[in-house]
Order: sequence, then structure tokens, then C-alpha cells
Amino acid sequence: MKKTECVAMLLAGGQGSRLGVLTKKIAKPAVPYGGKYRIIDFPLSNCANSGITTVGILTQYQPLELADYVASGKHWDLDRLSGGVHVLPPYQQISGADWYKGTANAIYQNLNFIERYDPEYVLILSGDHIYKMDYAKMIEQHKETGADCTISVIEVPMEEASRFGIINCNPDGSIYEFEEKPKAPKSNLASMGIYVFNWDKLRKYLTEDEAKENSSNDFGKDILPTMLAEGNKMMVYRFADYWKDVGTIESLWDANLDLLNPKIDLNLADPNWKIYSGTQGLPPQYIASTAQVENSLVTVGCNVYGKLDFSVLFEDVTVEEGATVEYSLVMPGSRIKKGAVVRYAIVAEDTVIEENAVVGESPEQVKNIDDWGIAVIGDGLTVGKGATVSAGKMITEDVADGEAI
Amino acid sequence: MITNNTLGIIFANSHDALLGKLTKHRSMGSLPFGGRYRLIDFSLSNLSNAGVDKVGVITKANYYSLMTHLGSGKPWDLDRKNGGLSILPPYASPDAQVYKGRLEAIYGILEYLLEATEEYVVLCDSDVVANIDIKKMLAYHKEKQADITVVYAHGTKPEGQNDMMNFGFDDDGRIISVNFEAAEDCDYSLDTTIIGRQLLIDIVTSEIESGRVSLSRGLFGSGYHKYRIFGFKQEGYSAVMDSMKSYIKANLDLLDCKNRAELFSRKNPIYTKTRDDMPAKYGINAKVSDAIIADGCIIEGTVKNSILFKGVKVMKGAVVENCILMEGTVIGADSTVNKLVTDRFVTVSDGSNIDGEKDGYYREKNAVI
Repeated sequence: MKKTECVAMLLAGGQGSRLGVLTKKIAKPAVPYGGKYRIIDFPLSNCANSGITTVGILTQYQPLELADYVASGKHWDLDRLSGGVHVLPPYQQISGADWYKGTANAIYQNLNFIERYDPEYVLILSGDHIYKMDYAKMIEQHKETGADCTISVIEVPMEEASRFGIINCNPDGSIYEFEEKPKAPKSNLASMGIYVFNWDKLRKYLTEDEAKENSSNDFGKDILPTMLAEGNKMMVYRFADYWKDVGTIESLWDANLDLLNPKIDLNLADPNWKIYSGTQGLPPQYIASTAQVENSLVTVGCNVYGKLDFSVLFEDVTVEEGATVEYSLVMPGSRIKKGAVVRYAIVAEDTVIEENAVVGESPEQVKNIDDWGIAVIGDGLTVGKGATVSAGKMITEDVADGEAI
Repeated sequence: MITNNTLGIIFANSHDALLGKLTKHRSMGSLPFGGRYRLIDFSLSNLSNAGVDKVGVITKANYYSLMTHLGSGKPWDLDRKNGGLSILPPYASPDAQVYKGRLEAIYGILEYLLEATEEYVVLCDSDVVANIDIKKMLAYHKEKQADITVVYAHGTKPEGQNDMMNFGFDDDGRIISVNFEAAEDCDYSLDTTIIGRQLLIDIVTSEIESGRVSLSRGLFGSGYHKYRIFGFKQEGYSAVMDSMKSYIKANLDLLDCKNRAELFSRKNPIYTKTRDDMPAKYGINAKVSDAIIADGCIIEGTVKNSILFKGVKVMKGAVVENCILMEGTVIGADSTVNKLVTDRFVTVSDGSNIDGEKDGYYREKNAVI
């Protein structure tokens, strides 16, 4: 096997349970984003654009759709003669079959995969975030500083710091302390879950960690603190561009509408750093004479006859005449029928909102603002004629005609 | 297995001359169409959807844009170990000139045909926009035990091509008359033809040896007496690009949802090379009505009755009506454009006022107006 300088391992096994019905049938990295993307397009496009062409994708929860989507990696130009994309589900070994117990264990179970490429460095990524990052720069810094491990960090607002894994470092960027969700954070540098390791160090610590009976086999909880305690050189890599976790309904909704905010710097149209995605053979979108479309993203296969404002329509969505979609995401293949209103909502794939149904409410429409939230309709469901779904509800079964939830 | 025995041949330069400036620097096959396509996407997708996975594209001139579009044939699933896509440029042997018509073109690729093992050949022109079910056509060809089967549409024969045929049939659907004159309310050829590979080789060789030049006349001219030639009716939408006018009309035809449904069927999608643009973005005060919009467009002005290709920008206060704006066109702020066809990367300066009716319909690639 030809030598590869850096192998990326993408942790894509998480269930994403906080996304509720949206991840009932698909893994979180396969969740649609931004009209024509899925979350995993971001780390994979970043890899391709950074020149990292050997990527292992660790799947566990609902791997089918994800594996199908990744396929040969050709959408990201990662179908390579040597290396390329490999989907790595847990598999049976002589000692028996194990699910991936933790993030570190997932990598441990695939040491053989990494070994084949004999890399200098291993880049650990997750499939939970929307961001554009040149990993090559991070690896370059890792080399220059001679670190054993480099962790990508981003400044978060101090008042939110206690929600993150916080990293305390010296002025030269060397790390002296990890604090997982600290009550009284000393800094506002949050770990982005992106690590570069020297391969020999990573292999040593993964193997040792696996032997510990009471370890949770997790990078954040076990591997990194142990490496620090044993005096390894660990550095931060500062990242200052757009980075957003899309692990909750609200953050997913927010991150989508960020694409419509001219003040937010997340340019997916940059020809020098494209975000690639799997495409289907769909015709361009059609906007009818009855339509009103403002402040929105619309993509291939869509037919818009109704009103659209502050919304994102994914592939192959139809909004019929007299229907209104506001402050909402409508995922691939869904249909909003005549006179229906969808506002402050996420409508998952292949869903039908029947005539005159009303899904979601604006914050002004609810009596108590604490009751307000984004309404979510699960995939493949039908919301019946004239039915109403109030703010913040998560719908997992068909809603009958006229029913109010 | 029915279709793996079939080879596709596409003529990339069909009737180039009829479209004037549109095909000055490109082949017919690479002419942008319908917001995100090039004309050759239709024949490539038709073949691919029928499971034909060996396709030769015959080129003649101006084929750089075509070659970058085709690449290895991946978007049409034609990057194959067995068969796949071959680009067949004109052979430049010392005694040969670049071919004139389709007959000479096929004669020029005789080696390719002789080396092939497929029983059938599908010949496709690239100036036709249609979603043709070649699988069904092939089954029909076999059912009728035809020597040749040709696709036809019903209506008024397009006027641009002087060698376009219309047919008369017997009750069984066999062609019993061929007419090259203009005609209304007739069954005219869409120049997609199935023929046995050996028969094609034989006819082309004998026609060339007799000094003839027309493939249509060679296959159909008097051949219908000798061969069993059948017509296969194209029921859905079809258009033939034989003038700037017909090109504009066919693009605007896509604003009709019936035409779109027939052309872009779910069962047989039309594939194209993707540019990985982000979705189209509509700004505050965007006003769009009756328009086809491709991904990568940014619209902050008004667009009516128009086709916008990938990455077109319509700035604030601009008004676009009855236009076909190809990839990367920028319509500057407060400009008004009507009845205009802009080639790729044309820029209309802020505050311009252009009426294609008065000022000419077409603006060539990279023009700044």
C-alpha cells in the first residue's frame, strides 16, 4: 500500500437523538441541510478540498442511507485509486462482535484500516457540524509546533461556555487543562471535536485505553486527559470562521436560516471551496406566475406556485398555489398543498401537508413564549386537510383531517 | 439483457450551421439548454436510461466545450470498464478530409463499428430535445422484425433543415413513402434510428463507394422498398433546434408544466454534469414569476417568463423579461432587459436598457454590455 501522510477518520455513528423524529430512520450525518446538502457533505468536502483523500467513515446507527449516500465517494471526488472513502461499520472479529462502545473504541476497532496506509497523522472528525475548514492548515501547524496532538478550538460566548468542552491553554497555545462543561469556565475556547494525532501516539493510547476496564473509551473523557497527564505536547488550533453544531431541532433550523442572513459569513458558493453533494437527475426549479418568493433558498426539482418567505426548500419540493411557507425548512420530496400554511417548522422528507392544514406558529402567535418552538413533521407522514399542528410539536404519526395537535 | 447488445452513436455536430453564433464556438451537442443542460444530455440520458452502456460520440469541430462536458461519462453512468463513452474525433489520415455529412462521418468510424460486437446501433442526432424511450423502441424494432426503426413526431415539419424527412406508413406501421419537402400535419423524423450494425456497415460502405453523401437518403431514400423500415412515434414533448428562433421557443416551452413533465420524467431522468452550485437564492424584494431557475442563481430583482442558467445574477432593481440567460450572466442593478439571449458570462452594466427586438436577440460569450 502506498504511504499516506494523513488518514481522516470521520465519526458518523451517533444517533443524534436530540433531533428526534428527523433521525428516526437516518444517522445524524445524513440529515439534510441547506437545500441540497447533508451534514456529512461538510467534513467530506473539507477533506477533498484540503487534499485529504483517505477517509474512513465510522457508522453504527442506521448506516444504510448514509452508506448508500457516500457510495464510492465520487460526489466529493474521493473515489481514489489509492485510499478514497471507506464506510466502516462494526464487524465481527475472532474475539466476537462488538458495537462501537465510544468514539475512541470506534477508532480502536479500525486500527487495521489505518495501519494499511501507514500514515504520519490521523485526523479525527465528526459529522455533527456545519463549517468550512482547511484541515491542511491545521496539520501544517501541528507539524510546525511538533505537537503530539492538536485540537481545533473556537471562541464561544462566555455565557455559553459551560455547554461546551472547554480547553485552557497557555499564551503559546499549549494546552494545560480540559474542562468538560464547566460550571465556572476559565476560558471560552471550545473544542470542535477535530483532532490531529501523531499516528504512533494515537495507536499507543487507544491500545492502552482499550485495556482499561472502567474506561468509557471516549476521546474527550479518556484519551485526551490521559495524554495530557502523561506529558504529551498538546496544542490548540484556533478557528474563527462559521461553525455550528446542528445537534438540536433549533440549531438545525437556525443553521439553515443562517444561509439567508447576509451578515453571516457562510458562503457555499465559493468556487475555491465548494461544498459538494450527491445529486439526482432533477430539472431546474420552476417558479410560477402565482408564486411569491423572497428571502429563500430553492433548489432543483422544486415547483413553487405559492408564497415563500425566509425558508429553505430542498430538492423536489412542491408548494401549491395559495400555500404559504415562512421561516421553515421543507425537506426533499415533500408537498405543501393548496391553502396550507407552514411556519416556524421543519417538514421532513416525502411528507404531504394537505390542503388548508396549518403547521407551526410564529412566536407572536403563542400566549406563553416558553411554549413556543419549531414544529417538526416526521418523514413520510401526512398532515390531513384542515389539521393544525401547534408550535413546538414533534409529529411522528399521520395527522387526521381536521385534527388539532 | 435486451439492451446490452446495443451500441449508441451520437452526432455531436448535427446541423451546427443552422444556429449561427450560438454554435460558432461550440458543437450542437454542447449548446446550453433549459437552465442546466447541454443538448447532448438528452441523447446520452436516453441511451443510458435504456441500459445502452457503450456510446460513441462523433465530433467534427469546436469540440473542446463538448469534451469538458463529457469527461469520462460519469454523470450518465457511462464510465464503464466494458464499453462506456468514447469520443470519436475525425480521423486525420493524410488522404482524408474532415467529413462533410453523417454518411462520411460513419464511414470515418468504420473501424469502431467493425470492432464492436453489438447487434444493434442507435444513431442519435444532438439537435433534438426529447425524452425518447429507447428501450421500448428497441422492443418495437424486434417485434416488427424491422431492419431499421426511426423515431418520428407528428405536427408541422420544422423548416430549418433541408434534408428532414416525413413519412407515410402502411397499416402495420411500415414506412411506405419518404418525403423531403416541407409539410404540415405530417409525421417527421426526429433522427433517432435503430439499425443492425452489420446492415449499417454495408449500407454506408456501398453508398460511399457509389459516391453518395447523405445518410438519410442512403438509409431511407429508396431503402424503404428494400428494407423493413418502421416508424416509432414520440408521444411526449419534442423539439428540433434548427434556428435561433426554434432554440428560444424550445427553451421557453419549459415554462409549460406539461412539457416539463414529459421531458423530465421520473422514470427516465435527464442527467447532466453538475457544477455543485448552492441552491438559488432569492433576496428581499425578489419578484419572480413564470421562470425556470437553475442552482447558483442569485435573484434580487424581477424575473418574468425567462430561463436562467446556473449562477446567473439579477441585481437589485433589474427587470428581466422573456430572456434566456446562460451560465454566469450578470444583469446589473436597475437594468431592464427584454427578449435577450445572453451566452455564458455576459455582463449587462448597471442601468442598461436592452430590447432584443430592436437591438438584436443574441449577445456572445463574455460580452460586456
